[in-house]
This record gives sequence, structure tokens and C-alpha cells, in this order.
Amino acid sequence: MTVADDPRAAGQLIAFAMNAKLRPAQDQDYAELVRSYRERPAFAEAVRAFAGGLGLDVLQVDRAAGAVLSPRDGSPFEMHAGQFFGERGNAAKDAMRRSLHGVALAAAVACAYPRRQDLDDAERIPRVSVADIDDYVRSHAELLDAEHEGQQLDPPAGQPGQERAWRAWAGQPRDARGKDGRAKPDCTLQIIRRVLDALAAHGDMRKVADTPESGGIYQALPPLRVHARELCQGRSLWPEAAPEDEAL
Amino acid sequence: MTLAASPLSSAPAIPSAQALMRRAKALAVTDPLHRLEDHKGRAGGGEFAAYTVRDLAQYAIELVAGAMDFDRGAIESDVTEALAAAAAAQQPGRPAEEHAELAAWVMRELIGTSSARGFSADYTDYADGATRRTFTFRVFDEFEAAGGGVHLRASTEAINVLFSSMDIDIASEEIAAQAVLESHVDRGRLDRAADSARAAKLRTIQYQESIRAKLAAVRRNLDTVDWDGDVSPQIVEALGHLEQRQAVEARILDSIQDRRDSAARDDLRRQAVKLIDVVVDCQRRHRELSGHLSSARETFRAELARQKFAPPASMNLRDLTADIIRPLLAETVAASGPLADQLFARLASPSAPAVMGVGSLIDQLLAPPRERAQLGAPVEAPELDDAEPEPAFSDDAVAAAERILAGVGGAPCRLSGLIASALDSGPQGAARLVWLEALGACSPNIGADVAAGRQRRRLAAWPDGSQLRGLPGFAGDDLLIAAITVTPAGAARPAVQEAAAA
Repeated sequence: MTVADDPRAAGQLIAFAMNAKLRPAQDQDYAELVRSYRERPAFAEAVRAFAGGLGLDVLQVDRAAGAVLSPRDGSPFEMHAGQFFGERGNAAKDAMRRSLHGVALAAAVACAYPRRQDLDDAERIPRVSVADIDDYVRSHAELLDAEHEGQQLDPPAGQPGQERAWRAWAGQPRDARGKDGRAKPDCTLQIIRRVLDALAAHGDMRKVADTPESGGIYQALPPLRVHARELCQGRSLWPEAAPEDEAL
Repeated sequence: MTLAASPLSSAPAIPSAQALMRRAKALAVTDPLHRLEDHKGRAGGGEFAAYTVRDLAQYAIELVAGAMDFDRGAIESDVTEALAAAAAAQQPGRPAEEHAELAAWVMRELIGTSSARGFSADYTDYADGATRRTFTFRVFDEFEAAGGGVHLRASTEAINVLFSSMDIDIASEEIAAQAVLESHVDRGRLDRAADSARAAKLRTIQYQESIRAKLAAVRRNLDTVDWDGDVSPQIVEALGHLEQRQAVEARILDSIQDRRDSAARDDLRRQAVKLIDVVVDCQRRHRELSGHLSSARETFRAELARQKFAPPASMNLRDLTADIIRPLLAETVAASGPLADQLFARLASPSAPAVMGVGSLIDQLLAPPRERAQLGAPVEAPELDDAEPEPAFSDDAVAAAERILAGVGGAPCRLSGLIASALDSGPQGAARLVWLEALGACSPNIGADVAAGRQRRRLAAWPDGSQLRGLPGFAGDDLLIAAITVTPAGAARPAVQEAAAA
């Protein structure tokens, strides 16, 4: 395939990026397009414009991670937590499950890249285990408990949504099993596993082992590092104006 | 604490604080190996206790180090396979699955997971008073290889584990290792040279790895690097080192080739050929390394130009734990929901939604239902072999045990003596069989003989308070044992009593 600075080649690179399991090392055409992107600004511009039309930002393009894309608000590719765990229609329970899954996702990323400089280490592929991630969240929940000692943390009756997220996690069983020996869907180990499996389906993680003591071991692949870096560098999760509003 | 007041030293502080610190760290690197050995009884259902795991871990490091190149490493499944073979050599009688499980466990433990932040050990730094510090390190790193796939790399610390002397400067050690090799070759000691060649190769790999890590670090922190004052002299020094190494290698090769050509014996010639392979491999590594170093300047210039447009260095980043997780956990469940949505949108790679063409939709809807076999695929009757039950004791062992027990007379003798003679002379299992028979004789089934009205010889055994000692694999009461005869009249006239009376 010859690469021209045309929309077709740009679209082709986006299509490769959408293929979760594919890396440039496995496909010559993909590798060629990645090289063009890095070496020819005109082509890179064409790719970014094409992606922009789809509501996608191009975060990074390199040989290890391939082209890493991120959806903008309102993009048809934007995902919601509910798509990962399947909403059941009970508003209170779904809100709780959304919170737990969000915490599991953030914790998985924090365990994979514990230090700031890990986010810049493009070479290393870190491993995380399900049990480690749960330990990590529970240890921070204990710290938060200690910091808030003496404060009233119980939610008003009938308003389960007012419970704090760390108390919700700590109140969830770690490893509950049904009569058939299978893990119950809402124990924290199972929630973490569900999130990691979802990331694996999107090409951001890979499962490498399944041992009872670890609850499962996963490798965090290069695209996840790029996304995590963007999360730590791009716009804040919290609208930044909010504290000043309060001050006024 | 300072040692200034110590009568041992008049110096104001520990004079070799630096060396102490380096050695303490070097020793700490072997911790993961000892930890494996300590924990083996708790892993794998306790079955791993039968193996020595420390040497398997060492072997794993050697395998990974040996496969390392500038941009390639070892593949985990290959290493695991080789480790399983080593485990099988340790315990050939154990099942192959157990060997594989043990190998996989060793590798998992050595690679570790990230939140454990690798391995760590505390040591005391005497350079500035006495400060307790934590040293963190890894044994193996995983990385995406240039040709695709995830490979393993052993850290320079891990490679150090393979050497007993640990307080080192890598470049000097490489020079020393090659000097030893050269001296062995020059004196015609090709047998000794094999070991020193192996050491020289590992040092070469270690040197290669230290340079690679340095170049990678420079590439990551270009804006903080002092190119002219720091990096450039190091590159010049490394290139000089490589030039010398290649000259020495050429000399060693010539010398080995001379030995090979003039060797009178086949085994000497074979040794020489093996040595040549090792030295040629070192030569290749040094050549490649020279290439990387020579092009380093251009690489960095290009990288610098690219990074001008790249995001700023990591120090300006938010911290995942302090700035994301903690505030997220402090939110209410209701408020954390939209944040969770954002996290999923921003952290997961987008994937293409399924789009269905109308044409293929109609085809699929109109397709005739697939015929399903009601009973599923035919079940093939498995062919089963009749299993021969394996006797617990070999015929030889049974015969030997019978022979020894037949020698027991009316006068009581000690079980320890019988076991000892079975251990000395009998085949495997005979001693255990003697011991079992003796235990059975503690309760001789005289009633059955009486009821059947037959006369026969039986053994009777009883404890007298002494213990079995000094017999490997046996413990408990040392029994007295004697033969008795059961008579058809129904009265057992124990020979024991006669003996006791006598």
C-alpha cells in the first residue's frame, strides 16, 4: 500500500486504531501509516482532521501503542460506565454500581502507574493484580475513615446516594460466593475483574494469569498509559471553577 | 548513630560508607530469591516444598539475561518451559503439571505486580549521619519488543545476583572478565576458559543493559539532560571502552583459533569451537552497541525536536492517587456517578460500534434456520485400558523383609536392629515393610488361629519405652519382637515367656 496524504489513508489509520487488539508490530500497513504520521506533518494533520470529524482526539501515535484515540464529549464513540456493567433499571442500585465501577477503574490505573514518572515510561508494561487493587482501595478507605473520625458519615435515611464513595466500597464484601461457588457479581473483587476484562476487550489490558490468591493478573498495555497520562494532564475531572464559585 | 567514638576507628565516620551502602543494596537484590524459598511451602498446595526454588530463580535470571539484546528480551513462555524442565530434573517422579505450575509461580513472583512497586529493602546510609533509606528495585521488566510481543528484561541488579562479588563497576568488571578469559586461553587452559567465557558474556550483557537503560533515561528526560557536560563524555567513554573490548576479543579469537588448529585431541577442538561461539556473540553485541551509541546524537536531536510539541514532563502531571483516587473516594455515591462516566470515556480506548448493512441484515433475517441435531455430536466410546494396580512394595522388598522376619526367634530382638539390617541389605521398601509387620505384630490375631484350629508361627511385639533413633525415615517406639507359636489346643504358649523366664 502506498500512503498518500489523502483522506482514505487517514481513515485507514483511524480504522486500525479502532481495532482493539491490533498493534503496528503485527501489521505492516499499520506500521507504515504510523511512520507516515510521525514523519509527515501534512498526513498527521489530515488524520487529526479526520478524527476530529468523528469526535475523536488523537492522543499519541507511536509504534508500541499504535494510534491512541480519545472520544470528545458527545462523540458517537463516547462510553459510559453503564455500558460496562449493564444497568438494571433500579436507579439507586445503578448509581451505587456506577460509583463502584468508577472507583475500580481509577484504582486499577493508579496501581499500574503508582508514580508520576511511570506515566512517562513508554517501555515498561506493568502488571496489576485484582487483589492488589482491592487492597489499595481499602487501605485508602481506612485512611479516609481515620481522617473523618467523629464526623457524621451515615447518609440520611432513604438517600443512599448521599453515602460517601469510600464507605460504599468498604461496605461491599470483598469476595462473596454463591451456592454454586461462583463469585457474586457485586463483591469488589468481581467488580474489579469486570472492569479489567472490559479494558482487555478494548485493547488496554491483557489477562496473563488466574490464581486464587491474586484474583487474576493483568498487563497494562501501552494505550492505557497514554490515556492515563491524558487524565493526569488534560482537563480536570472536577470543573475547576467550582471552588471559586463557593468562595464568592 | 556514628561510629566516631568506636575504639575500632579513629576516623570521624565510617570511611567506606559508600561501599557499605552499595554492598547492602547488592545483597538486598537477592531477597526475592530467598523469599521464594521461604514461601514455597505455602504455594501450590504445599507441593513445591519438595523442590529447591532458589536455584530455579537464579536459572530464570540467567535465561532471561542470556536472551537479552538491545531491543529484544526473553519470551516468558520460553523461560517458563526451560524452568519446568529444570524442575522436572529435580523431581522426575512428580507430575509434569506440577513442574509447569512451579515454573509459572516462580516467574509470576519474580515479575511481580506494579502496586507492590517491585521489591524493596531498607538499609542505613552512613554518609550523612545514619539515615534509614528504602531501596526499590525490580528483577524483571516487561516491555513491548521492537518486533512486537511482550518480552522480559533482567535488571542490572538482577544480573548481579549471578555473580558472587557484587560491589562492582560494570565496565571495569567486563575488562577484568575478558582479561581472565584471555589469560586462560593464552595458557591453553580451555577447560577453565569455558567458565570465564560465560562470565565475560554475562558482563557484556550487563554492560549493554546499563548503556541501554542510560540512553532510555536520557531520551525520557531530554529537557533535564546536560548533553555537553554529562551525556556526551559518557558516550565518548563508552565508545572507547567498546573499541578496546573489540580489540581484545579479536586477540582472544585469534588465540583460540590457533589452539583449535593445533589441538591434538577432539575434545579440545570441541571446547575451542564452543569458546569461539561465545566470543563471537560478545563481538556482535559490542558492534551493535557501538552502532546505537554512534547514532545516539542524531536520535536525541530528532527526539528533542519532536518533544518541543510533546506534552510537558511528568512533574507537572496530576498524581493518580492524591489527585484522582482520594478526591473520588471522598465524593458521595451520587456525585461520583458522572465522574465514573468521565473515567470510562477517557481511560478506555474507543472501539468501533457495530454497523449493519441493510443488505446483509435482510440476508441474515431470511436465512433458513440452522438445523440442529437433537442429540448433539455422537459420543465416541472411550477406549479404556485395564489399569494394573501397582504393588506398594516390590517383590524383592517383600522377599527381603520375609527373610529378615524369618530370622526372628523365640528370644526377643529389637525392631531397630531389624530395620537397620533391612536398610543395609534389602532393596528399597524392605525396611518400611519390616516396620509395618512389626506394628501389626503388636496385636497378633491369635483368636483367628484358635478358631480355625491351626498351628502356626506368629510374631508378637511390644514397646518397652525406648525410642527408634538414628534411622532415617523412622521414628517412634523401638519395639521388642519375638516369634510365638499358636497350638491347635487353643492355648498360645508364647515363646516370649520362655525367653523371659530363661
